[in-house]
Amino acid sequence: MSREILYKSISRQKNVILLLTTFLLLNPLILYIVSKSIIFSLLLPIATSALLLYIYNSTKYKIATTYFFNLVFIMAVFITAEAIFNSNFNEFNVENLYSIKKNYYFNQPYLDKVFNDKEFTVNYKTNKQGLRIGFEDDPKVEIEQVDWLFIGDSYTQGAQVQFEDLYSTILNDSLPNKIIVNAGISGFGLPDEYNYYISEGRKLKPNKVFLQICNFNDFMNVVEKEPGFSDYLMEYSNFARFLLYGFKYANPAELPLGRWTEPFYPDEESNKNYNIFYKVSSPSKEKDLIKFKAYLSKINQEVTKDGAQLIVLQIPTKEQIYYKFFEEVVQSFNIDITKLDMNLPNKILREECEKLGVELIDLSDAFTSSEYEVYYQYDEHLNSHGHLAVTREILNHLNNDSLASKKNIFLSKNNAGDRYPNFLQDSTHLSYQSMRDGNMELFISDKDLTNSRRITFNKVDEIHPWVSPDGNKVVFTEESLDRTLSKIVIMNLDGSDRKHLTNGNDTFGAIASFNKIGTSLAYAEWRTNQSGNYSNPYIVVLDLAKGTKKAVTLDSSESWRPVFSPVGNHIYFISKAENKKFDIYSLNLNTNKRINLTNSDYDEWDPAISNDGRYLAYAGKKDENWDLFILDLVDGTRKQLTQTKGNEWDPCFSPNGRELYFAGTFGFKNGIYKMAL
Amino acid sequence: MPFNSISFAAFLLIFIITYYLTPSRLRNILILAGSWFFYSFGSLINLSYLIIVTLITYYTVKRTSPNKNYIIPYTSISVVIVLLIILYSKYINIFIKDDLNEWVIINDYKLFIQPIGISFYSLQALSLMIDSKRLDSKKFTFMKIALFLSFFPQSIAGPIHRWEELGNQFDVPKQLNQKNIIIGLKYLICGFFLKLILADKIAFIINPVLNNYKDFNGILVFLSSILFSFQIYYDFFGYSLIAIGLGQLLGFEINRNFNNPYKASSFKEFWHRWHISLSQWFRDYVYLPLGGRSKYYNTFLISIAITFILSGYWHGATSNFLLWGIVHALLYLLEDIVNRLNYFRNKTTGFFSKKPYLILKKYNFFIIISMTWLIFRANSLEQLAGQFSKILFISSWSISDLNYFLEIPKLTFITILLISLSVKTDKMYQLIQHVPIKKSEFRFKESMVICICILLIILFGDINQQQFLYFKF
Repeated sequence: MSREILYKSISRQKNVILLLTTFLLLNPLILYIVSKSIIFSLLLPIATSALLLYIYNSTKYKIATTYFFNLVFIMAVFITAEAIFNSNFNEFNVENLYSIKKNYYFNQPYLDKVFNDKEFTVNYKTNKQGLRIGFEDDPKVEIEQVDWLFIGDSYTQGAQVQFEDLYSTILNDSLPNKIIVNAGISGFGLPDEYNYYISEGRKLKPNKVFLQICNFNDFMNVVEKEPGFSDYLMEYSNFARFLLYGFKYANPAELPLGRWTEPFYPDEESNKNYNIFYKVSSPSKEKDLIKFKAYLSKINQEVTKDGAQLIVLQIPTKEQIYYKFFEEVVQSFNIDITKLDMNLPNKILREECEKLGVELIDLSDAFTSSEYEVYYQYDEHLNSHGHLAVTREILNHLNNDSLASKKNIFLSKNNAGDRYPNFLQDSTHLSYQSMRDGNMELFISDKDLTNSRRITFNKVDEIHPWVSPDGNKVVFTEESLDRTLSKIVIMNLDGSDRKHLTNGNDTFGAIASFNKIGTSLAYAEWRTNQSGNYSNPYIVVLDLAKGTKKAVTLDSSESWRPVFSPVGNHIYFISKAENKKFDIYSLNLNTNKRINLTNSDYDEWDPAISNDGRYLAYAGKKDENWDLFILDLVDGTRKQLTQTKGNEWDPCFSPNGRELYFAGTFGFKNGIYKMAL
Repeated sequence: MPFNSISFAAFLLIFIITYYLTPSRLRNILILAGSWFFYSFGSLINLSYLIIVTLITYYTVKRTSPNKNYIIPYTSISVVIVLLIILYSKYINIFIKDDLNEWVIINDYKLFIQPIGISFYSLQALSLMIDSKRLDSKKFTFMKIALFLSFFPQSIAGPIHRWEELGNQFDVPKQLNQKNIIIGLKYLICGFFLKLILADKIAFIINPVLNNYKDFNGILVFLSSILFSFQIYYDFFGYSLIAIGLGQLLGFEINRNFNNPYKASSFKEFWHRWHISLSQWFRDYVYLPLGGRSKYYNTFLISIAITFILSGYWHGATSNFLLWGIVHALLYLLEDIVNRLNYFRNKTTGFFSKKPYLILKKYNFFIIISMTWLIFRANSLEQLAGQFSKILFISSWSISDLNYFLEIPKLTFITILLISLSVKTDKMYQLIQHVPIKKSEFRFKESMVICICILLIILFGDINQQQFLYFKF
């Protein structure tokens, strides 16, 4: 009996030792340092020790105890190494630029890196979706739909040039009314491009999909990537990445010519298997070619199914364009030039595109005729001249219809949320708001947004500027963190004599405008009642000379954004008086007669009146997207001015009425634009 | 579906769970379904070839068993048909490829699908048809013959089994057995270690040298060819262990295919240790029927020559495999002639009996075998001649060029290789087959070795990076 008790006691002690050892090995504190997750840090040791104790105490699976314990031990060593590496050896950390998807990989979100090479230094930034963005672009902006989508490999990704020099960016600058997104990723082949399109690309609803093919590597190893264990380890563990990077990736400097020379190889077999220019073939190469054609056809099928058009961009290799690079590989690798056909991939792709009815833009001629060298000397990629050449060729190639809507001109000089353009009485200057140092400030500039002058300098948001007709004062909205507490402010243009027209205690206001002669202001005002509740905003007219204020609408429904007619006897404003959507109303200040000018089932905002008083421009959220409209107040005809995937707001007529200035967002691009009427 | 792929891992997991949940009487159906699915995974063409060979085999053995008079005509015709199928499927591409000086785009993808496993299951089919006369014909059901030819753990790349070795195992109901599972998993781990960590990483080290031999010093080419011997061995040996492990998981005994081949000190011994099931197949169905070691030496010479040449062609219908077969035949015969001349025979005393001589003999033989593997690996005769001239021009060897092996990734794998070489194969088998039952039998060191193998596979496995070399054949 006492022996049994003794055995039980020993067994209990062993269980306790096993439990403690597991917790010592999988120390929750170290796990927390590594994972930053309290749940994981507690769950892993608890689950592991529970399983270990179960195996140890079971009669059936006891055999596995030692194996399981050893696996835990090795795992613990690895986790500890990760913690030590992260805390003490961070300088050896290899940047993790890509995240693994199911059967492709893509940029990590929110990257903000600088790539240094002997030939270039480049800032590389991505948004929350992993799409490459400019230095000033907001990474939190998510792109929901695009006009043009560029898919391709490192030539499209362009990590060797600044974002502003990328061909997709230059194109977007030339076509500011389009949302153009670059989803190029280094190392992408046709299977990756296909998988990206299926998983993510098609969600962006592009009208045109540009598929960039490169003779450098697209014709070889046409296989779908299946990540292995080490790939996942490298994604999640800095230590594993440090450990395995050298095993997985070669340094281009160690390559035979100090640069990537694919598809040219020093040996016959590799040329036979992989070099598309090499006429001697092999089953492996032919299989790749068949898969290449199959994937091209599949991408075309999917793109067409989505109602979009596929356009193929073919980028030649350095060796195809410049004899010096050709001579270098041929001589260094001792390749028999009679076995080479340097036009072969172009011929194959041309034939295939013709067969599929896909438009092809072959960049060979554009590169050959370029005034400057389009590639870097050592790096195999395009330099900024190369990207410019691609842009020009795409623009040349696309027919006029595609570019017919190229009537918007982007005026903003940066991507800083410029909005609310408004002409000054002198007809040569504009006032607008723009983001600076984290908050909105007010600016005055020439009408092409050059020579801008900042007129507010502080930490509060100042928005909706409207300069008085005499050009001395500006009225605007001052916002606080709680937007319901915004105030109307008036000040001299030099910032002096700043006054609040709404007190900010029980009266609040927003979006004020002067009448044509500068004697009155109209704005939306709201109040708090005794119980602290806010009234609906209503429109008030303030006589600046007399200091009297008159509410011209009731607070029974929301009303905002009033503007005076040029004569000053009418006010145009938006209101929800008749339904749950904002419509634009006109109000005769003499008769109090109110007319719903738009009366639609979607929101209409931002009324702007032409100087002759005949036309009313406004923004309407038709089909869940903001576009601009114009209404002829004389004959009542209405016209939709824009129909883009971007959002257009804040219209403002040019003094002669021939142009419309407005603010808009097109993908990552936002600011002030103008269009001819 | 290669064994070293995540798709296969998923397939295996689902298959084994389903297998043991299925009633015993239905398990053969499940194995056949799984095997046929395995074959059809890449392309239905693979399965089509397998089914055609299965039907021919079934039809032949069913027709010949009841009436012995039919044996010779039916078997002969069927053997010829199966041989033609092998020739067509494996070598049709070669006929198209040879003399390809201009780019030819062949739109028919099917032409380039070499049916997987056909070289192996066809040999099993041939052996079954030839042996059917002496086998119990009542056991020849379509199901069993289909299982025998398609059993996925071994039919892709061997070992090649005879009916008596495998066919009857399908009659025995298999029970879920903890021991089988543990041993099977250990076989898999060791097999994957040999394939992914040794063979593939040796390839990573030596391919740049052997592919671009012109740019490398002779000593590097020589050492790379030595390393290639290990690559091909661990690649195929690893596969064989995986096959055994898979069989074990399902409760089947799969034959061992290797027995320390590089411990051989003669060609005769080597072919008893290397790819044993293939050597035995050629012995029984080619060499012996041709006369074998008959009293006429010419018959023996011809038998050996034809056997080795056919063995070379079995690996591939290109000039290097033919040359490899011829070289092996010549060396085998040379060795035999030397032995017959009694030159080194019965030297039981003096230097020839001493350990240093025997060790030296083994090492010499290993180097000769390594050089023959170079023929096996060559893509062209020009490449082969170039590699040999680099190796033989010893005066140009430069020790400083060995720095090539000292880069951290290469050095790491060479270190792992050297540590692995220090483990005797027998020890490895002991490790695999040891299943502790009592507490006293637990071996911490043993389980740690297995765990380290798992860790290395996870870290460096690079699944899907390279296929098993023998899948090509």
